[in-house]
Amino acid sequence: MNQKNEVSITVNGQVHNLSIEPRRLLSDALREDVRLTGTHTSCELGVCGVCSVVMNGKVVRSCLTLAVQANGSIIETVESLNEEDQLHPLQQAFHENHALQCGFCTPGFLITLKALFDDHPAATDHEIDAALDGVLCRCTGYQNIAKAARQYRDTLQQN
Amino acid sequence: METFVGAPVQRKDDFDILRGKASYISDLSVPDMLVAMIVRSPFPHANIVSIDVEEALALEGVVAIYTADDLGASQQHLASFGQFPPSLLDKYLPEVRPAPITTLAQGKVRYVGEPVALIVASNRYIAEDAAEFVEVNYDPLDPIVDSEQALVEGAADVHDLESGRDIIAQEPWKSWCSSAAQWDGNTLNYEWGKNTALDMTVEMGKVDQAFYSAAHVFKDRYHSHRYTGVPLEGRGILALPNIGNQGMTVWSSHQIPYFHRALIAETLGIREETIRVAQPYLGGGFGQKAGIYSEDVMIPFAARDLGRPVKWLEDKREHFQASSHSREQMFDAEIAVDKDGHILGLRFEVLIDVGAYHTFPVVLPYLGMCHAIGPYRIPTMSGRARSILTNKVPAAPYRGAGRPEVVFMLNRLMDRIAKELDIDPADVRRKNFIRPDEMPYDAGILYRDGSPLILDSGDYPGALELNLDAIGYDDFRKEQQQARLENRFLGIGMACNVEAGGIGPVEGARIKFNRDGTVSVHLGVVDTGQGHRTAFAQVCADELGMDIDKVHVVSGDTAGIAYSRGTYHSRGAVTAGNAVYHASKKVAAKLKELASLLLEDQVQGGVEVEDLELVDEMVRLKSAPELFVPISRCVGMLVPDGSSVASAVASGSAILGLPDSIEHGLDETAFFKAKSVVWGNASHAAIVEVDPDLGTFKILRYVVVHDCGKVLNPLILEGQVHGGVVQGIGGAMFEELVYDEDGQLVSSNMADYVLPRHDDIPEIELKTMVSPAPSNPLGVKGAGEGGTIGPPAVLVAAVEDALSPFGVTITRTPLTPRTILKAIRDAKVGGNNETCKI
Amino acid sequence: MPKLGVTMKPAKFDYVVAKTLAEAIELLCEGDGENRILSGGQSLIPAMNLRLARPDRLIDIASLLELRGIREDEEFLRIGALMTHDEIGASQIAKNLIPVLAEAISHIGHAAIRNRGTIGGSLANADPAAEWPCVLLALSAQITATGPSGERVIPAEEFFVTYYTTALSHDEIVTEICIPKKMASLQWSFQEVSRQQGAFAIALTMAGTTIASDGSIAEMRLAVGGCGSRPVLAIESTTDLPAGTMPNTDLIEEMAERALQKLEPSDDAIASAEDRLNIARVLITRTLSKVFQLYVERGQA
Repeated sequence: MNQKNEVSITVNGQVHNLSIEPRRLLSDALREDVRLTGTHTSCELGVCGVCSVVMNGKVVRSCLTLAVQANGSIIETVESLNEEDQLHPLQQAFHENHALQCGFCTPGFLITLKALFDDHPAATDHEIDAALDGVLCRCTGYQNIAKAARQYRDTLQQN
Repeated sequence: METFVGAPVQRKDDFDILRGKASYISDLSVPDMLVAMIVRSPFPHANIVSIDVEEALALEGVVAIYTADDLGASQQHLASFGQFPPSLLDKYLPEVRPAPITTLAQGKVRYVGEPVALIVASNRYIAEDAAEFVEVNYDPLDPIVDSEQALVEGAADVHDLESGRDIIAQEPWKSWCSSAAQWDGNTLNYEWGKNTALDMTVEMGKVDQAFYSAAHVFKDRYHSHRYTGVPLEGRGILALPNIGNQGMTVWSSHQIPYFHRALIAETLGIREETIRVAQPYLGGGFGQKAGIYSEDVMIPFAARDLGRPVKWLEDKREHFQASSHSREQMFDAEIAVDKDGHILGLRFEVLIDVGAYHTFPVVLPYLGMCHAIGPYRIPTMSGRARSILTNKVPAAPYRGAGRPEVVFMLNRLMDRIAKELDIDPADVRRKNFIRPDEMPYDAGILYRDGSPLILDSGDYPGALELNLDAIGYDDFRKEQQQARLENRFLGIGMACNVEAGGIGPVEGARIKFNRDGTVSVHLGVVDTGQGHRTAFAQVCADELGMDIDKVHVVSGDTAGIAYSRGTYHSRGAVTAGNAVYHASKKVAAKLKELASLLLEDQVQGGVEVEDLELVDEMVRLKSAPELFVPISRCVGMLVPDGSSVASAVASGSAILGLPDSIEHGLDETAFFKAKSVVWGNASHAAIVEVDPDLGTFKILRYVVVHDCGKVLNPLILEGQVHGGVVQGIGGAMFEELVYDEDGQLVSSNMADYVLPRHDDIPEIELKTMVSPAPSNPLGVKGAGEGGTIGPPAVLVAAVEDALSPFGVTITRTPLTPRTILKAIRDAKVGGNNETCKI
Repeated sequence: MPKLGVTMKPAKFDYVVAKTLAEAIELLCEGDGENRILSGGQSLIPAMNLRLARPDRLIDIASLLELRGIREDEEFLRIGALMTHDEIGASQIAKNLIPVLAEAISHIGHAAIRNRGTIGGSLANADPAAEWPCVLLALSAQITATGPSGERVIPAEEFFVTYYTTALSHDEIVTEICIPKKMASLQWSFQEVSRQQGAFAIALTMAGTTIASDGSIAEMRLAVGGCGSRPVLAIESTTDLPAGTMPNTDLIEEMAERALQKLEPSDDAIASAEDRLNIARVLITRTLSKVFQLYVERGQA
């Protein structure tokens, strides 16, 4: 039971070849082996949504995914939003609307919204609310996060 | 130039956080690092018969395992936090029983989750494997699972009396926990009650007389249930021994780093000076990271013992067993009123379930006491608080810290008066508010810090009127009637409270200019997400006439500033904010002093320092603005630098030009001395719709009127209130720490402990009133906790109001289907099941 | 029994990706240790993180194409066991036949869970408060299980034994779920009560009906979840209702009372057993009323 598996995952466009135990969670592999610590972990039961990443185009809980299950997959983490010197418009919307306080849940919301808007740029308020319902926040009370998401949706609609 | 204070300045730290570049404790990793895990007791109460770690130690990757017997002199009683001020001890003679935690459990375990051993391994997966091989033999004892059970004669003792007597006979416990008047020589002149860690009565005025002569007395029993903060990021520590093992650096997700440092020094027997405690970004705190914990000293112990960095992260299943609980209080309360509903007196007894150890003796009971006296005029009062030891996780303050519980009791009593005397609940409050023209109002008792409790500012009646107007109170009754005809049950509730913030005695700030012309603001308070890095930069930038982009706040690092108390009791803005103000003024004074000398020759009659102002990064004459000295030039002259790089040569010669009368350096520390607390206030109201068949409800509207004095940053303030309200709503509706009758914690992960989500919460409508605090230069009052105080009282009132056709009375939280359906059933049967015991 | 320590990382196990269904079954039977099937992992991995589940070997079947697909034939709507909740909810075929499926699926967790969790996994997990067990029981689904001796069909009525326990033997895998197309002619309604979206349900009901030309109930099915160790088929017209029964308020109340007899809800801090029965009664009443009303509206449309 000491096998190591060879796993190849593409993260934010870069291929990573890892040699890992099958029990290693994707969340830990991303944070510690690929060294992208933007994705956080909290409940490790799939409930809080803080660990969310996009896997093969769909939002998933990286704490409920074994890294070996992600072999051959394309993964996007919150870092995929990062532009050179400025904030991505979604990040900018969060900034302008004070949609983060401690910031621990923020990657979960950013990735969830990225997945939503990549699929539905014209997401309705109701669809935005349903998406936001999937991630927990203890600091902001959600209000400003919803504002930021709607503002970003409106920006997308204008362009 | 723009002023920053009072403006909705967007946060400086967002950039790093949004890009996933902010480092939280879980992100920190160093070479040679080991990972620790705590083996915790699975029993609520048991003797430890033996611990065998042989098999666990033999696992590959396991480096060390520690139990209490391995710690030598480091196995100690750990200090409690927040001792009683002498004036409080002398006046009220509280009977305090020390029951401190020990570094690791020794001989006995007293709650499920109590730390028994520390495993250090190469990673967490292996440490968890090893934990399964640690053999601990327990001899289970009967557990005490609630306060009433704890007081029964013949019930098990959570702690034996002798150990408590031994501890209190020694310092510092003796002077922290007792007044001289409580000793006859070397013996306490009273006995502790069974499982009672504190017994304290505060009396004010002739309360018995008031009750005797009252037209009406209403009494009831109120339950606030057990819940806690659950920051999304758990606790965590990374301890790095310094080279040569002289002291260490500790990174911790911690609200009171200086206390943490002192605890490490004391327990490990090393000099405090050699320990640095610093903060990465924190993923929330809410009080759960301001506790007394074994891990805080065990991780540094292991690092020092092994000579290697050791890291520990609390996972979210552990959090419920490992970090402090709060809020479990039961009140037997009665209120005396005249025939018109004016309050004549308040009497109550409260049992506070503090869990298995007594880590915060004064805060929970006494903070509650202090918030029973406002915003309503309570002319006479008797309050008895008892902190009861049970076999549950130790309690500590959680955002709100005793205020939500007592505000719940008080506002429920106000609603009771309304119901019994058939007066509008708003009118009951209006009749009893302390009015602005009565201020400063001496409430007649001492505050927790030992000074007289004086309400000196705030418009309590005005806050309620603004609130009721915003929520449409007058029109609501019609709407409610109409809805009932359609078999829909709408209800409205309101609650008003005062809130003490900014507790002293002191907090510091150190401000220094750097060679590159930027300013560093070093604070001991900790940013847990509430925007210190921006709000305090605003204060400093305004005083120094600097652009806010050049002002950098570093918080919670013991290397940055020598002394600090920490982040709790809504004290950041008041104490640290004003310390920043004072320190900035000191720096400004020096700049002006230098500038006045440099400009001397250009002004006939010399330069008066009062005629100088700092604006647009210049020191400039108000009377002749064309005469100025750039701040950068002053910095170049004042700030010594040790380099011989080309750009420094220029400043080197500048330094030679510093006038003789001025000392080098632009690095000032100032302390804000808080004489006492400042008092904010709020009024909350909500409209709900209840489904009486399912026992569920939805919040349709929630309005908050909030006065926290002058507002440093309205964006940040609003966020703090939103967040606090939603935590309060979560507590009132969903969150519950459930123990079964065997003392097992049933709700021990985030699937069982339900937290509020976006779709559960309506838009929170916030209105701000400003009554500046008279007692500090910034006029601020503290906003961190306020939002959590109102919701339990408001929502219970609203649900009860919605169900008034059923004649329902609700005196407890949380508002689960169980609570609501039982209240409906009880009303049908005719009367509450609870008996009040006063 | 006190729980073991506090863990959030799984215990060690071996991992193998099955390339065919036959291989998966072979691996399932092999060896002395505990073998478990891994599909989406949304129930299994949390249990493994808590170390409540500690398989010695995980057999990953996620790449088995033969377990995927949604199609209809003459008799059934056939759903491959590996279809995710999200895929089934989005399926046009499923929507056309049984529109209520999408409604029920929307109650499952949140999007991230629905993107990975599979119908086969949910069934094998047999949480009595989950949506699929209740829904498939109401729809009289047939569950195909494949083992070393081949396929067998287990009707939903026999599939759920008790908490987290099914009629599958240890060497069988759920491969397909077949919903009889005649169920599409019923008017369905699904209702659930829970603290919040995605939280454990307090009670859930799925009711379906057809009404004859004389206004009497031709067919009636009612399943209730969350009120006992497994979902319960509380009402089935062929056994519970005489021919010619007319739908009205009294009948609904009577049916609800009868349904309650078959429920054994648990007691916890959120609701007592008595509360749950009352909640179930209300939910059943509402679902039945709704389904009759919808049937009438559908007829008028």
